[in-house]
Amino acid sequence: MNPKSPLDELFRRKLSHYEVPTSDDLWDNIQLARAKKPSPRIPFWAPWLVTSLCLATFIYFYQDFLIPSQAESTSLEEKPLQSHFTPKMGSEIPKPIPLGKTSTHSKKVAPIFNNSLPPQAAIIPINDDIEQVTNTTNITDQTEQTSESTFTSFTNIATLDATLPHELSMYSELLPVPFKKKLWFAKIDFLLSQDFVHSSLTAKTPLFDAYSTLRNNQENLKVSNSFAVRMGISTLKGWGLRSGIQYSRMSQTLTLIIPDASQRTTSKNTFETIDIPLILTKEQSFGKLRAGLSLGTYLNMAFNQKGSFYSPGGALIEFTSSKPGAYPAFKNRLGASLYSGISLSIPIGNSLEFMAEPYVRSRIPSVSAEDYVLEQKIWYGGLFIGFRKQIGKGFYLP
Amino acid sequence: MRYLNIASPVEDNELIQGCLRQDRKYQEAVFRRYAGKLMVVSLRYARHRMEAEDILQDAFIRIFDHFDQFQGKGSLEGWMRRIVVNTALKNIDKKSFTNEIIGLETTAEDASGALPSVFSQLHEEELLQLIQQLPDGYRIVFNMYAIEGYSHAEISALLGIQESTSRSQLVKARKMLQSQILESQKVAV
Repeated sequence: MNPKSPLDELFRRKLSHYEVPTSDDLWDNIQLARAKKPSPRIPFWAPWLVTSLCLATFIYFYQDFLIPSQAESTSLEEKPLQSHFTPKMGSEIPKPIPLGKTSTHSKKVAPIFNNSLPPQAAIIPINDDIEQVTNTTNITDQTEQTSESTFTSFTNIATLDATLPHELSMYSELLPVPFKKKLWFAKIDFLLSQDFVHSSLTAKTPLFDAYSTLRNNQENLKVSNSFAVRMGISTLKGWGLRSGIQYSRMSQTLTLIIPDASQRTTSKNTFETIDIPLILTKEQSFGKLRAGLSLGTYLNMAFNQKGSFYSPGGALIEFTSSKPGAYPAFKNRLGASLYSGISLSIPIGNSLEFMAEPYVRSRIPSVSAEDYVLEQKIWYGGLFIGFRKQIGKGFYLP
Repeated sequence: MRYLNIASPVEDNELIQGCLRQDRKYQEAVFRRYAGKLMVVSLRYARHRMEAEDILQDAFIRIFDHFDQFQGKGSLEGWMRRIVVNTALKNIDKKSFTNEIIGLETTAEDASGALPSVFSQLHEEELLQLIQQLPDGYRIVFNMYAIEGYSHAEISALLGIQESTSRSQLVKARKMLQSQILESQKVAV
């Protein structure tokens, strides 16, 4: 509390409960001004987030259009075509088809079946939506109309999924690759980083320019350490989404030199943040090395501060967030920041990779409290080093 | 004048919840309850009533737009007073302080003695007028230190001026107020 002065006390006592009526139209003016205000600004990170989600969604569905290339490839997602067919009964198994003796209907067969006709064919109940193709090599024309030793081709793959009778679901193994969901892999990252932090202080109005210059001169480069755990899913083609939690602790040293250089004092401050990363990745293999690009946002969950800064007159002003009565110079939550990094990983063991990820991150909204006279913005740059572990085998999303 | 259809008295908590829902009835209730007190705050920082109403209007817009930032740690009135003060400070001109000599030391006993009895007989409206007649720099520092309770370090940080400037402005403001009061009493006699 400030030293008491009788004059101060007089004004404080008499004016603290004093009221002066406002003009009658003030409330109407306030309503009018609020109604005229433009709609709230879209957060700067919203387009980024929407774009990331749209991109991820597009990639997920786009993979289903890659049917031909997948059918011809021998990726891990395909089983040998023969494995799609299982015999019903030993006696019903047709003999292998000699080369050159194919069915007259064979030209109608979808390209996916052209390479190798199955030596064994399952019997599938006939359905109107499924074109029936009969292997007639070792059976007579009279038996061609029977349902024995028939297999199916799917002329309308796009619509079959919806029209496939429920009882056919037991034959799902018969479905070619396009009916498969994409294979995903779950991975977990444990990362440590040493970050270099750059911050800039700018005055909200020219009135405080001198003070911002003083603070910029007092505050040296900050160093931060971070620990992150990220869970992610990714496809064989290298697209992935990662999220998790990251704890960072930033240290800062303020040096105050009294104008006549007779004294030099310092103050050490710490800033702790907890963020949730949401990162879209695209990786590519180069031999053993796997490199990729990571883009995303960090959503800040907490921002705690401990320390002091100097007023222009040289007095310490404490801003510790947990201390009641401390000056609230910073926000408690910082919103979102943009993240971009280049991930590099090398396999070092069974499902284990060593990885490094240099990155930059910008916290575009000011970290200062709304009512504080200076705006402080922060940029990070650093190197994550750690391990990536694949969890289990690949899986299909429901 | 229109009045609200909200049963009186309404607790602050209820008003807060209503304002968080952006319910206009509750916003008006907050306005009706606190506008008079906040007008005094605004008048203390402004040079005239018109400016004070502009400050108060801007402050209430900020209050209702950012009501979700009220964390309930202190009183609603205290939070709103701070917003009014900050809104008023946005409009000040740094030149208000440039005429002061940085590092000017002033004696602490300038206004620390017992006040003549005539001082306590002054009405609130007269005190308000006395404050409004102070030069900008004096008025702002006196308000922040003597009435709002900011320290010189905080004033220094908030206004971007030297602490010594803040001290000297305060002492000069007190002296000027004292002399104005005594002068007005002489005229009255």
